[in-house]
Amino acid sequence: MLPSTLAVIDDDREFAEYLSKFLEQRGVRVHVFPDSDEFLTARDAYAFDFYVVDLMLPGVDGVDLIRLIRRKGPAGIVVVSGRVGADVFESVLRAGADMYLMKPVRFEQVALAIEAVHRRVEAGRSHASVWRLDRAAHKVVAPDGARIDLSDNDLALVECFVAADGATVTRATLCERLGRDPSTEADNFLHAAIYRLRRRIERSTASTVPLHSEPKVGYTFRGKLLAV
Amino acid sequence: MTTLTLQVLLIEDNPADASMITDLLAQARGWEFALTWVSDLSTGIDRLRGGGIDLVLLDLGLPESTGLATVQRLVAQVVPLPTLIVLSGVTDEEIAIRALQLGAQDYLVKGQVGSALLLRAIRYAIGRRQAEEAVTRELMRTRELATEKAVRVKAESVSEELRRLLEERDQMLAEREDMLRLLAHEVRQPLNNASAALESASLAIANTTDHPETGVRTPLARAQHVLDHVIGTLNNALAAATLLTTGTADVMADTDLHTLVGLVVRDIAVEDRPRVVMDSLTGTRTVQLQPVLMRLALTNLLFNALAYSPPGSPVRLRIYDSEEPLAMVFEVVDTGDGISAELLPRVFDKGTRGTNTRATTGAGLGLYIVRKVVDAHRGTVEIVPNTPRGSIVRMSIPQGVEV
Repeated sequence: MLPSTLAVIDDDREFAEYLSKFLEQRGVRVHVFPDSDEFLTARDAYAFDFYVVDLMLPGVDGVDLIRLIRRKGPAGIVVVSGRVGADVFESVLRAGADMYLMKPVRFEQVALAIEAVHRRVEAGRSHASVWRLDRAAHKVVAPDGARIDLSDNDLALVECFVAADGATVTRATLCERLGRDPSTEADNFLHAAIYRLRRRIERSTASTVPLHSEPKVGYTFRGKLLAV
Repeated sequence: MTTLTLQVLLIEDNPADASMITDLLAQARGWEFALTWVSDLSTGIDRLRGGGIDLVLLDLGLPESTGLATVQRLVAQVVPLPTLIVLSGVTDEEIAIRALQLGAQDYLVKGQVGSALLLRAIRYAIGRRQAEEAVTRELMRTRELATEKAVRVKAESVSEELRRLLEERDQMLAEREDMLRLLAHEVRQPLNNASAALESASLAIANTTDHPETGVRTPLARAQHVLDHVIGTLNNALAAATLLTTGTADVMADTDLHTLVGLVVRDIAVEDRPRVVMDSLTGTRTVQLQPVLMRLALTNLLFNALAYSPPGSPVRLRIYDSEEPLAMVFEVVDTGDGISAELLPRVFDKGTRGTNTRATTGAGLGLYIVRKVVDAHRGTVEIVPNTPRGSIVRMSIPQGVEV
């Protein structure tokens, strides 16, 4: 499922034009902005469902632009850029982009990325998606009704997220609940436990697991999670 | 006149001569001497090594050595040597003169020496000695200065050379950056746009005609194939030159596995895509990796497998979980000729190319990039034979890591 409206902010006119044609053929209303100034001064600049941003823009830099768009809301942001380097990826993701696509890309690849990101954004936004922890049965119930068995470690982690009610749970707290000394948390035990929890859930349900890593801090369950 | 006490060492085996010298020194006015008398050279040398002696009076005819050899031994064994006056008999005056060349400041002929002459000899000898020392010091200082200057000049020229080299290097790096940027933006992406235009033209033709004009489509497909190949090669060269050499910051991201694989498959030329068989044996959807790098690595593996195996033969991309160690394993399986034992040890090196490829060009960067990407993930990569034929490239990317 593609978003219904989308802004392309890219000074490569040819690329932007082909891409918008490609997306419009698939039912997306696309508006192309050749630079960030034009985008920022446009009416309803922040009303689009989705943004495709280049990094090297005349006017406000692409990374700053991403930060501005992200501040305005949860709309999906995909960066399509020829710029490479680990520092670039990091700054882009930190600014709030959802995915980085390195040029060259085919338009169908851009479409694929947009679709994937949009799906996640929509899943997080939907109020119907309530997760439940069935304490008696040691199970998590996904929004689609799938019931997932939890190990003792899984259960301890999920209890932390229930208690946090959408806030970030620190590594120290999570480690303690797992019975680990947070000061010796050099062995990836926590990361592995989180990975296994998410994997266990993903194997049983198509629902997107809104479990996010906050680098160096901890983890957040960005969805409604209730204990029953 | 100095009022300091002059420390004198007398090396003299004849007690009578010694006593005479002692008397002469005792008569001296305006001088104060502290005389030490030893009767053989070895004791004298020992005493001199103890230090504090200002003047040596050395008899040439000693029991252990006579003549010039006495002076030679002393000069050789006592460094630095104090002021030296040689005492000779009438018969060895010539030897005494030669002693001056060895470093003695003066000589006296025993029996012809009065107190006044001895004192004058001592005074002149000390004066000469001081002058000599001053000259030596000056010479040494001059030499030191010259060396210092030479060192400084050399250092300056070296640092000048270094500065020039650094400037040259910066210049070259800047030019390299410019060139890479030019390749990326002015060459690669336009090529990509052209490829996209060709693709949509092919699609348009396919959609508008009931019976696709093969006469038009084949050249179009061929043009697109060539373009894609050039783009792929350019892409690898740029990646090797920039992405994989600039730092090793790990930017792991929670990545949707399905989307990653989708991107990779669409990097493959349209007509080759049907050959790629997906074999996903995992229910895991979110993986931890560097998506830009992994796309590059997987695309390269598929491209290689397609190029090095028979036309039309399937190439499998198999993905499965590993528990111990916790990892995601990606295997690319082909049914080609395999990799020769000779090539295997350096197959991940830059510039290594197989000989049995259908692809006409290539820079030998594919597997090198794969190895670099795997290293960036702290993973492992290996190549094992496939049965009955072909190769399996197995990449293991650690999971449950810090994101």
